[in-house]
Amino acid sequence: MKLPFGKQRDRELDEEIRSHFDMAVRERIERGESPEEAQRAVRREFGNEGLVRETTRAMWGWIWLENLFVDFRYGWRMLRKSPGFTIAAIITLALGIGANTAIFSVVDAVMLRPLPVKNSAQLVDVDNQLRQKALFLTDVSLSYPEYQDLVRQSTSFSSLLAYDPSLFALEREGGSQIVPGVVVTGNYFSTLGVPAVLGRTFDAAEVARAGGSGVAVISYAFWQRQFGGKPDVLGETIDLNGHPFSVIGVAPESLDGMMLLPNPQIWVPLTEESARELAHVSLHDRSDTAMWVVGRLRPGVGMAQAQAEMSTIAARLASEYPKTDKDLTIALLSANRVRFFPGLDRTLGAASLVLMALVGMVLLIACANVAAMALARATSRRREVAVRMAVGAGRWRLIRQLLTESLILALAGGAAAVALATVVNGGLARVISALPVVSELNLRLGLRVDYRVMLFALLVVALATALFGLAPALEASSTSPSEALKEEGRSNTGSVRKRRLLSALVVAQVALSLVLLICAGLSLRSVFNAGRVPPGFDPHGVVTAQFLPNVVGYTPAQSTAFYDALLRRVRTLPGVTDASYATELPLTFGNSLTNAIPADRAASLPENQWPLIDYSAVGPSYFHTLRVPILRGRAFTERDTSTTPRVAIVNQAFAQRFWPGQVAIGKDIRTAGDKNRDLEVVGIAATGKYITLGENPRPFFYVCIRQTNKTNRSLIVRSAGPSAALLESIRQIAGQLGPTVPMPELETMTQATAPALLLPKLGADFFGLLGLLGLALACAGIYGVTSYSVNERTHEIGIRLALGAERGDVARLILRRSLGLTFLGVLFGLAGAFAATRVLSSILYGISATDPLTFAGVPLVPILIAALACAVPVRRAMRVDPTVALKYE
Amino acid sequence: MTRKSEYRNRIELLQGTLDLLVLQTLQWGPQHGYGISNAIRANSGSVLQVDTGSLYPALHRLERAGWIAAEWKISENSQRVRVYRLTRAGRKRLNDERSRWETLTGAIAGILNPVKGESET
Repeated sequence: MKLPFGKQRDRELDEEIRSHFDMAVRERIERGESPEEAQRAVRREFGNEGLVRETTRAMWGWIWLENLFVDFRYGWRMLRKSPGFTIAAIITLALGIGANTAIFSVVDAVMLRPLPVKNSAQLVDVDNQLRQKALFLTDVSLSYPEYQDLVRQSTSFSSLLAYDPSLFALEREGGSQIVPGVVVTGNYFSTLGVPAVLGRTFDAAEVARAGGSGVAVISYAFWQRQFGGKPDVLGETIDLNGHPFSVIGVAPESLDGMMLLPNPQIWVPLTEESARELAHVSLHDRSDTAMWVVGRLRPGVGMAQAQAEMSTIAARLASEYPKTDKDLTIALLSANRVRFFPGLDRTLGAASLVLMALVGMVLLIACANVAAMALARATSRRREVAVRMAVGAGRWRLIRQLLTESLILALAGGAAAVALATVVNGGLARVISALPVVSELNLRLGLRVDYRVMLFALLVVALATALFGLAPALEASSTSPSEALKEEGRSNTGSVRKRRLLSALVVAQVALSLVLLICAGLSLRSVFNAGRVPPGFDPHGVVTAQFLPNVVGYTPAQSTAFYDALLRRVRTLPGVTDASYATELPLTFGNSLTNAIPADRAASLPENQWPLIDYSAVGPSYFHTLRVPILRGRAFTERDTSTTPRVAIVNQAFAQRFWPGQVAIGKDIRTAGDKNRDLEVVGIAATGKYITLGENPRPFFYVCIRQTNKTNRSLIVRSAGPSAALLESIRQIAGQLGPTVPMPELETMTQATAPALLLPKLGADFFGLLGLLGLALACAGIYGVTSYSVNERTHEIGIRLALGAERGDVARLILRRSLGLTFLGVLFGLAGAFAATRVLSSILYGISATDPLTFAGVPLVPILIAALACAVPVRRAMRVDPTVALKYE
Repeated sequence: MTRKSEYRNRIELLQGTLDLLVLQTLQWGPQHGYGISNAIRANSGSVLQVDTGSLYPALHRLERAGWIAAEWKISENSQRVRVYRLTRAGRKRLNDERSRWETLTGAIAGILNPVKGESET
């Protein structure tokens, strides 16, 4: 085989050899030989000229590549000779690599892939410190005056942008609809370095000059959905909160789902008007913290340097504006590392690690399987290997050849895996986008098999090759040829080392699959439990709707009037037994947090170190409507109004945390938002589940909604009748009371709380699937290796029987050896699972991470399989006539 | 039978030995491949015949290792020939190889002609 390398060198070599030939001939002629004689003689001397050239060329190093080709061709031929082994190995590897690739593509999409903007490494989130402590959206942002101070005073950034995620009421035929949008500073797109795919984006100069009013950039998804992707969308008018906006551009598709939450559909430049009409934010009030700030670091400026500068500026602002900025702490976070919110990101990061570790185990099991198969096959290949060694192949050369075969298998498996991952991702994307919470927010993960995933798959292929190929290759090449040729044909015991290798493989497989199975078992039991965890309220028969009158500019007073009228009318509907409203409903992924502390302890800690506690502002009959038990004291009543003393109801966990062993009723709570008016505890509610079903009991308190100025509320209505008719009636009433109020999705409370079950359910599905995959692979592996090693001992069994051993004794001997290995594996597996499940404990619901039932029950599976795998070949061996077993050799 | 005797008269060179011979030959001055093989034959009294199938791989291997360098020259017969010369690294290598060879031959000689007194004790 010749490669097109070093043509020049080849020509030179030809010339060199030719000159040698000519000189030799000339010398002979000079000595008196005839030219013909001389040529013949020299040619004889020379031998095979082609071979001379070939071996010389080999000195120049291209040889390794040529060898690789030869190895590939040879390997492919060998693999084609044993299609059973090849197909089994490829399927096994495809499953192992495919599982890893699929999971990686999800983890990559959710956690790792850099933002789709120019030079994303330079982008940093400029956060109010609070954000990093909170799990969900809270008071994380800065006010516009603070943002302007940062722009003026900082030198670390080449530009700083600010945006205010909002909800816009999009006017359409037959009412308005809520669309997530964002009001952004003029330099938003230029800072991100993202051009429009159609039309143009606005820039800072334009916004400053023209006031920038009345223009909007729409998202790619919005363009597709609302305008059918028509190319002449530019200049179209969309009506937001009753004001016309002209579409000037379409953002690239890649920006969909960037900053996953909130995922804006419409970008409107920040001006006095848009701030007032769309974002309802003041550009002059230093306490109106609604601006999310992102900066692009100047080239050469590091995070630490920028952070130091931010801290200096924050301290300066704190002394300049003590009233609003006393506790201002600014933290920088690399924008690539922020996916949702730091708290959630940490959880997701941990979950990703667990996932990767678990699929890694599937890969290990797959590799162990293939390694075992390859080892078994090595026995039948001993003769081939021995012959090759005998004719002078070096050991390294042989190992390379065998590894090339493994590489072919892994590559084929990898190719199948990538195909598999493409299909799986398609399905996964469909499943995920069908989930209620995701479709509502237009989240798009952008799952795809791109070069990053391919690269990862290749890495896994290389790893797999080393994992399953190296041991068999070393083993096969270590036999001395004479020995191998002598015992040629004997399917005898094989070397001690090989038996040890096989034993190690059995132990590893049992251990790994046990870890996987225990994780799967725990998750399955956990989701089963989650379905039965009492949420602390009764969602059945309750419908809910969140109206957002403030989006269309309702004042708190107007909003209250709207809700009160709505409530009065809804209560008269047939079948309705109770109705109320609340700012936050449990298990719906909305929460409000505030720093709160018993009033008498308030002086002992600075305000920003008071515990962060979830709360909700609720209407009078909230507890009755959702059937949340009031254990002591009273619920809110119609007599609690803005003019009466402020009251609160705490849950039991709250009372136990702050006043253990004391009577909580009558105590005062101080909140950071309203330090001058303490809340008096008037009742204690049962502790329920608020954010996830799996959470530990967490402190929670309720304030009376009449005593706050919260405008956005969710209506809750309990009714005995069918919910569909009720929803239609509510829709009609709301339409009459507030024609401009955007019509929300109306849903049953059961639907609304379904997302809370999502995580455990997804987890259980996933672990279940992974566990099943691991189990299938491990079963095949354990069975294969065990039965193979027993089969290998047929000869020994024959001898023992021939020498008069009792059948029972022999069977026990074999069983003891094989089961011993399994037990060893179980032991390692239990230890591994014990360590692994500690990480799992954060996502387990109502079950201990060391659940004794799971830990005791699951190990039976590999033990049973191993016993079966022994029993079948042992029985066969027992039935064989000893003389036949011996002759067979 | 004749074939066999022919082979018996020729001594198969050990790997590495050829390297030593080539380096030693080049110590007397730059030379082309044909010249090197002639020199080895002549200096060994026609005992050592280096065939081209061994010589050229060896030359190219040594060149690649940097012990010898090659350039194209025009011979007295006005033919383009590839001429090899010893590099500085090659000179050092030659010294190393020489001392190794001397150690080896000394050791073999010791085995072939053992000192009586030593073997008896």
